[in-house]
Amino acid sequence: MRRPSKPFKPDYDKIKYDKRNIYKKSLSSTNSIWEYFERSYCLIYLKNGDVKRGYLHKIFPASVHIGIIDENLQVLENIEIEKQDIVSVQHDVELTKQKIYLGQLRSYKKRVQAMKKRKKHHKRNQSPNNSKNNE
Amino acid sequence: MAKTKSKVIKDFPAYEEFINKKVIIETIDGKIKIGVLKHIEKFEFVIDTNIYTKEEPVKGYMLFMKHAVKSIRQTPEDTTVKQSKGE
Repeated sequence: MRRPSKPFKPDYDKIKYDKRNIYKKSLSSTNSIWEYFERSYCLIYLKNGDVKRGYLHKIFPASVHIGIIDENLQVLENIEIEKQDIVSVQHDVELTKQKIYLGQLRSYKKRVQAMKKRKKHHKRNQSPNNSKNNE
Repeated sequence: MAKTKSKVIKDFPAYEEFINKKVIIETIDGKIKIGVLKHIEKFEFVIDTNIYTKEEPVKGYMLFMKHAVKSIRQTPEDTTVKQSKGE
């Protein structure tokens, strides 16, 4: 199968994120449930009513390390939360979606750049003939 | 799977009846979540629910700490039959 030479701009509304299996993996393979939430974007509900949103780095026996995140999903600061203060944890669907979107955008830009390069080379090869014609 | 299940049941007999059944969970904050109970550990358990908005439901797992839970109730399975009887 040959790839199409011209990159297409993905239609983000039509992508079905539900079909991707990020939000739901089989629990049978993991030793502890926390492993399933490790290294993913999470919403953590605390006892005092706060909600912490970020990237769950690592899990310790009594605490959890999360990185708080800005709009471009870059970690601003790291926080340690004790498991005693946590009520519940769930995956952050919006941030995961955004991560997929950014990945697709990056690959799209790469493809566009590659196409531009290809065009440049094409022009360079053709240019002597063209210049002669112009003269 | 069978081995892990038996372990869970030995350690936490109170949760045995709720496994793979639709439950209503009430937490300390007063929030209520409905889902299917999937997995139990020493200090926490996981349910299978909708983790996104009502308009755009996404199925996923949600973890609850046992010390933050007020109650677990099982929903009646055949609600439709009861409703029809009542009518």
